[in-house]
Amino acid sequence: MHNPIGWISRRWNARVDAWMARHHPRRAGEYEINRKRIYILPTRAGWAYAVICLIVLLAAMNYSNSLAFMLAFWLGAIGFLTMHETHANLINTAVRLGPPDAVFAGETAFQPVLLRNRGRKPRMALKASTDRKASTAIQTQDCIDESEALLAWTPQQRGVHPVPRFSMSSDWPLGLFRSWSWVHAETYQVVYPRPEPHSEGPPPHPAEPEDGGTDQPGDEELSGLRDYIPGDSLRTIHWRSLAAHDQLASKAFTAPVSDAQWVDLAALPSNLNLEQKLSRLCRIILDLHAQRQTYGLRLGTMTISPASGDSQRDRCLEALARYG
Amino acid sequence: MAEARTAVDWLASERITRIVALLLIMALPHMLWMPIWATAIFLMSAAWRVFMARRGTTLRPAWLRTLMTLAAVAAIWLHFGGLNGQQPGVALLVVMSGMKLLETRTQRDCRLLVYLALLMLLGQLLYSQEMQWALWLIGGGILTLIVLIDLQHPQAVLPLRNNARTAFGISLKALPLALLFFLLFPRIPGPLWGIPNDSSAGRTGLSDSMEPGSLSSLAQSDEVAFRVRFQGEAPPSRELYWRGPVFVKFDGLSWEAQEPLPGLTYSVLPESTGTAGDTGRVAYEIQLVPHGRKYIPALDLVTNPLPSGVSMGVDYTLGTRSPVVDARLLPMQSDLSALIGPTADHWRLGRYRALPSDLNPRTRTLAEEWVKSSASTQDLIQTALRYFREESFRYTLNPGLLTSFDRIDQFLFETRAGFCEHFASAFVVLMRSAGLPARVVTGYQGAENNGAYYIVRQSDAHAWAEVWVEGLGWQRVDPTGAVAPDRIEFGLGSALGDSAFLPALARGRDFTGRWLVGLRLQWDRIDAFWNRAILAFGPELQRQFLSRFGMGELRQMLYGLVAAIIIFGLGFALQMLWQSRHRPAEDPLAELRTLLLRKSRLDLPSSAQGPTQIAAALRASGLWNAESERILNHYQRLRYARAHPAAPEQVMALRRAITHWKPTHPR
Repeated sequence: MHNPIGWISRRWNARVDAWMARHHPRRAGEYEINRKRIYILPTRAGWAYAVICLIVLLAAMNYSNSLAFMLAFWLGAIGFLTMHETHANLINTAVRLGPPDAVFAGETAFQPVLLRNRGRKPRMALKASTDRKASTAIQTQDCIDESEALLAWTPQQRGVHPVPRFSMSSDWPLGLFRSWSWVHAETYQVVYPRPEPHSEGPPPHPAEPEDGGTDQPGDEELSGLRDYIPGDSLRTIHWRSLAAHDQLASKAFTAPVSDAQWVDLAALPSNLNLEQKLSRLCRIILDLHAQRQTYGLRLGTMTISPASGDSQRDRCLEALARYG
Repeated sequence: MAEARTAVDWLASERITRIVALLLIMALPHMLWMPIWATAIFLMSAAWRVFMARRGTTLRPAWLRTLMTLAAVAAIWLHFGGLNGQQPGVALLVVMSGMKLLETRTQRDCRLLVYLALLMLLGQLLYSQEMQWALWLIGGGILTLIVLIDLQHPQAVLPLRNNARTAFGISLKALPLALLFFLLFPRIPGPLWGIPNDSSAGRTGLSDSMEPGSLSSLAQSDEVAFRVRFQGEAPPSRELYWRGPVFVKFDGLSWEAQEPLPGLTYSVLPESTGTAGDTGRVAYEIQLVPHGRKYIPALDLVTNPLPSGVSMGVDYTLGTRSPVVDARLLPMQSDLSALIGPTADHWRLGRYRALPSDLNPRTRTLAEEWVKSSASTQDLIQTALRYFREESFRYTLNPGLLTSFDRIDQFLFETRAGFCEHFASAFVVLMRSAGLPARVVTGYQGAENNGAYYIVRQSDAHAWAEVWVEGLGWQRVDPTGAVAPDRIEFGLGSALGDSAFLPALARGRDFTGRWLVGLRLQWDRIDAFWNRAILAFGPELQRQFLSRFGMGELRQMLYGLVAAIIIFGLGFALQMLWQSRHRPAEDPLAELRTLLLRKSRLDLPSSAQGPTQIAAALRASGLWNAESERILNHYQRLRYARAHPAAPEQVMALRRAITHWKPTHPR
């Protein structure tokens, strides 16, 4: 609680954030990492390396050992050189954010970060992370011409959120220094409401399922796999078969026949608050979609006419995300 | 989540295998001297870790690891009698890295292991600086870099060749700066905090005590003890007595220096050393191979000025404050005809007459007879030498064991076969029995010429006697010379003959495989240069060398260092900027067209690569379907769009479409 170091570091971080906001305003389009936008500092491993160099140097001095002197200076020179290497590994790269796939609140969003190498030598082990130390980086990405890194971040609330400021960083080749640049892009992430864990009761305007079109209503029952079609949602991808066969496959669901149903915000019980209601609507839409039903959405004044399929689900969920 | 993912990746057996290989290589030279159980612990941990990585099994419980670590530390403590010192330190390093290996999971663990490998490399360099270890330094350094680079790619284990290329590049680029630092970094004399006492382990040299057999074992090594450059003519071989530790106290079995070696008393030479004339003055430079001991061999008697950091003990042996672990050049002057301590106080000479009572009665009787029959001290000494010369004494490396309590008696009257230490020791006992102050001096005798310099080998190790004579001081008497004159004139090989078990280089001129010896002497010149120019590059040599460029002062060296950093920093920066400079803007659509043509295996002339021609070619080769049509339309739209250049998102989408397109080629 009353940790002075914690307090100081919080104050410091707040100052840094304010400074960042001033110096790295959000900007649209391609962001070029140039000399003025690169920062570089030794990493913890770099400090440890410096200590090792110092130990070797002290031993060399104590024993008047020429080879140990050589080792110390060689290691030192390598450290000094890699500072430049690390800096050069990042400079003259261009960063642009790809269109993100929508996620549910609380889910990790994987933001595509398109890297373009504007220089002449390959870039090694670049990382995208929401902090400068690359602690949330999920991959290292090499870049010869163009490549795509992923930035992982977790929006907690539904809505349309700007992608947070993030760092493109590199500690290639030896991990002794980390160079980084802050990217603050004009890209927005659609965040659907967090779906309720289980559907509560039947949909509000149930034109009761006429026949046994669904075997087990409410369950996302897999009927099989089909080939991946570009544009399929990440969530329908059957990841296990990717791992097993190195091929993208999407989950296919049985498509029952039924009449259009209406999902209506106003029909939900009034003891729920708005976010809870939206969460429930989200769950209902997902269930209906899983059952391949045709449905429409009424959100206050807005109405989405009944339809079915991925695009209908996405349209409805996005309306939930943007509501209010 | 991300951390869990990386933790799993770090377990990749290939990566662990690489780290284990690095540690094994770096620990290899240490395994030669480490206690066998320490080597076993290390090897077993390594094997176990690799096995676990292969199996993908989990690690042992933490308490077990802690227990094992504590046990290993305790074992090292018990074995070496403490943790201080070079050997226990390195043993601890090796064993601990084995223990660390067992719990290695994260990138940070792996990196720590790599750093430990660097310290093992350092340990080896402190142990020996011979030329082959310079290669070891380079190879080990590059290997370390390779593994360090390997750690940067958590997702994929890159081919070692790529990492090796990067590592080579980095090491080469860093080398010039390192060399400049080597030259310019101000060297300071002497140790910072002291040299551990076990630094003589594994090195050869004269020891602090002498008993029968201690020199004959040294004599079987043809390692170089030191090299000498004389200014002007070198004295004849019989005058080259290189003084080492002096032994005073005898307990009937072994000789020991009376005080810790050397009793450092004079940093400027005592006045009591008189000079007989200027005839025997000789100036020379000793290039010492590190022996881990405190004595400095020199010709009798060294005169002022003494080399820096060197002082003279009460027994006129030169010594340093801490063990010599660095190759150093010692410029010296000696006066071969100087009198040693001619005016010594009589009361101080008592300890040079002391003998264990009740031992060696026959020796005493013999000495007492000589006293009666001799007219003077010199006469008595001659009588003793004549005794050695005329009785049937044999000079040999394998004299057999002396078992009696009265060892000197046994040697003088029964076995009569010995090496120099037997003769010197018996002679001193005889002299003391006769009431004369006497002591044993160990050192080296002789030198082998090799072009511009002389080599003194361990096989030249020798022991002789000194007897104090009123008015003349300490007189050198070499009873071995009486028994085997060839030893003094021509060296060990000549004195012992071909039958003795001697290394080739100790055999001298009579050895038949002379061409091989010649080759090795050539090699020794290279080694001598290595020792002189690189290893002995200390404070004096640095000042000498840098003052040629007007940079002999500390301040100038520091300026030089700063300048080196700035110049190389700028150089590195410019080179990096040049490498990563912008390349000319490319037409992304042209690139995509190439990709499309490559995938559809169409070979169109560059003049006929318009969308219509491509479409026609696709139709002709049976690749025309909805997908290829869509791609081509997309391409056409972008190519002839008003907005030029095309929006990057659109280009990206087209690239994706072409990449995912799977044309089915007709067979």
